[in-house]
Amino acid sequence: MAVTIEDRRPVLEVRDLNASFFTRRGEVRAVRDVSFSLRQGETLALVGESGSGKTATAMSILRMLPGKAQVTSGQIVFEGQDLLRLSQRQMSRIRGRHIGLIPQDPAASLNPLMTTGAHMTELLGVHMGMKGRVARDRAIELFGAVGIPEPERRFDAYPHQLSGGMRQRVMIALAIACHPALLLADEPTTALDPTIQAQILELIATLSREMDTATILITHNLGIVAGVCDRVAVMYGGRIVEIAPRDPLFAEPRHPYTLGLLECVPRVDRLTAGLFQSIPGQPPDLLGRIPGCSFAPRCAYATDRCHEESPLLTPAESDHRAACWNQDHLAAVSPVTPVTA
Amino acid sequence: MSLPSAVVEVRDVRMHFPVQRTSLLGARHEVVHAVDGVSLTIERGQTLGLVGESGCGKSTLGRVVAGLYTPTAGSVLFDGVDIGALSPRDLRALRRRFQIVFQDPYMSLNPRMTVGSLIAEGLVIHNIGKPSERAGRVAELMDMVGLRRETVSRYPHEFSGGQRQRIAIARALAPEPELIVLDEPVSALDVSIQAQILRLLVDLQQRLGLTYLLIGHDLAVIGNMCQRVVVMYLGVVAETAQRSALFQAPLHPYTRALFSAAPIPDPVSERVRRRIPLEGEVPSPIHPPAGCRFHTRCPIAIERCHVDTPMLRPITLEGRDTSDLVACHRADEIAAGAVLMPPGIVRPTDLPIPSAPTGSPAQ
Repeated sequence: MAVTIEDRRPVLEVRDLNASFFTRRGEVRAVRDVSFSLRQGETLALVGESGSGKTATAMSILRMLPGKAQVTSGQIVFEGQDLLRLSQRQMSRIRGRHIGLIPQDPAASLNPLMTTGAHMTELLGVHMGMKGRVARDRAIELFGAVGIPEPERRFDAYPHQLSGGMRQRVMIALAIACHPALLLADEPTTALDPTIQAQILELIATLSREMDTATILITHNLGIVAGVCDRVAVMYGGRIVEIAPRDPLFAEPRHPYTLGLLECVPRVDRLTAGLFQSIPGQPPDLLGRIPGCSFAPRCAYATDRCHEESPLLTPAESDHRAACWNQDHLAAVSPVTPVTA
Repeated sequence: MSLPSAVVEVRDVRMHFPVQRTSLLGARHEVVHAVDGVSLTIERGQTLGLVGESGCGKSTLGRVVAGLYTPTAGSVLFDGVDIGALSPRDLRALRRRFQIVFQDPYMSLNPRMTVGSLIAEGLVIHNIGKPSERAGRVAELMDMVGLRRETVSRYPHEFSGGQRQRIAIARALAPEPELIVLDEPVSALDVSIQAQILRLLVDLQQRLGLTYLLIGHDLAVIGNMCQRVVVMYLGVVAETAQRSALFQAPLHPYTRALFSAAPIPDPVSERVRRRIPLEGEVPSPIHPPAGCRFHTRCPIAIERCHVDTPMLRPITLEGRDTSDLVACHRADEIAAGAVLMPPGIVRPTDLPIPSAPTGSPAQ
């Protein structure tokens, strides 16, 4: 599989993206020099905690940043064109048609006064020119494809009549309706119960495989991506601090933050007596400039250099890169040490 | 032995909520069976985990234990005293001994109160200490939960989610309770902050000898915090066991499904994980299914399960004792490995047998 993905055409290339929120306190640099690319059929997990810049990155791609925020520099090349140069009008023809979004909270994304069927037929009408019976049949077909039981009946259901899991399936159906080349899933399972969470993740993985869609899966939990992605980018303080194919990232994390995140996820297969590993301290304040590495204040391996000079993602030619001055040292202490009571 | 050390005993508690549904045919009065006959015991100094998905009744039961709801039927005994039989005055006096921490620290703290007054509120309500001494006690509580003393006159919105949960914990600790009901205390927090708060809770338990009822949906969090676990489904207990027994060999099909859905941050384990798919959705607690409540979604339900309600009973199996109970007609077959193979992730031989945290402080 990995070999074939290498030969695929790139769908998305993000180059040196910077985005800021302009607040009363000043400029909050939420996305800092973010670069990555994504090939057809590939799933990239964008992992980070609140304020790490993962959602701001995704919203920059969709050109849906809130009013007080804007992209300050960089390029977002999607299917050969820089999205940042398009007009809002051109952009609205891409959103929903060529780029699908699965949001975190389906309840907040669906219009409570519209049936699920009306949501879908509106979308199919706008982007695909489908009307009447044709649109209705296609909508029911799509609802069936995402595992909604009795799709004909659910066509007339209002969002409040559906469970959280069903609403998220409706959102997925809407996101894939036009066979987008790129699918953005922003914490798609955070609001759901664990058994439903597993179903939804599998559904997204299956659909993007079947449709050969490039997918960005945004999450704060490294645990949930281990089964469903090809590559992982870990974000911290607005930057990508480590990016690698899935297996090496989990087996030999090269950034101390990745290592810390892996160690603090409680696991059902490793019980401790409450001896949780945790990362001390708080995430950085993104107001203004951060001298050196933004993780240095919380890092057990930090040296003087880390507080002064900001590390770049290295080695440049490798597919496993980390922004850490001490990554060779860290590679020697990895893999993650099992924590047992 | 176990009787005198029990802090809380819940006996056959039912919590029903009347609801009115209006339609063209007029109003109908119906009853939500949120908790429908649950018994459990929480031992002193231990953590009991209550796990299940949305709508299983775990939060409702937590509120009954915390004295926020008066159960429709059944009783809650706190240190042998039936809470329901107390006069309002005696109940108020007892209330300081059990506290609750809620899931969402953004909703549970009054945004117009400073950290200091939020933490001191319990002292004021229960008339603990002189007003002049309270500032000192608040400072001490802030130290205990890792909040900087200088922030005492700030407001909740100036804090991150993790720090807000520290405020909520300090607030719960103020009247020196014996039992704290923790209702999904870390579900709204980032992973690295989750671990900090869980560590803090374990540390406080060891220092202060606290008893916890930990409510959650994440088996990994529950398993790493609790000595005993109760698995709830649709208002009833599906399975209850010591955590070592439960994590080595879950015997209820629903528990197995929950385990099989728990992701593991390791691609190698993920490749062997086999999910037990559950059909359909959780039925309405207004009209719970007859027989076993799980039969509508159970992959191995037989005819008997549709009509005959399974009782909680012990199963003879290595590592289990008579307190480990399961409510499933086919539990013996499951234990023998005849049906419903365990999800690939549960490898009993790999599991360290966890020990209860000792009374000694950490480090």
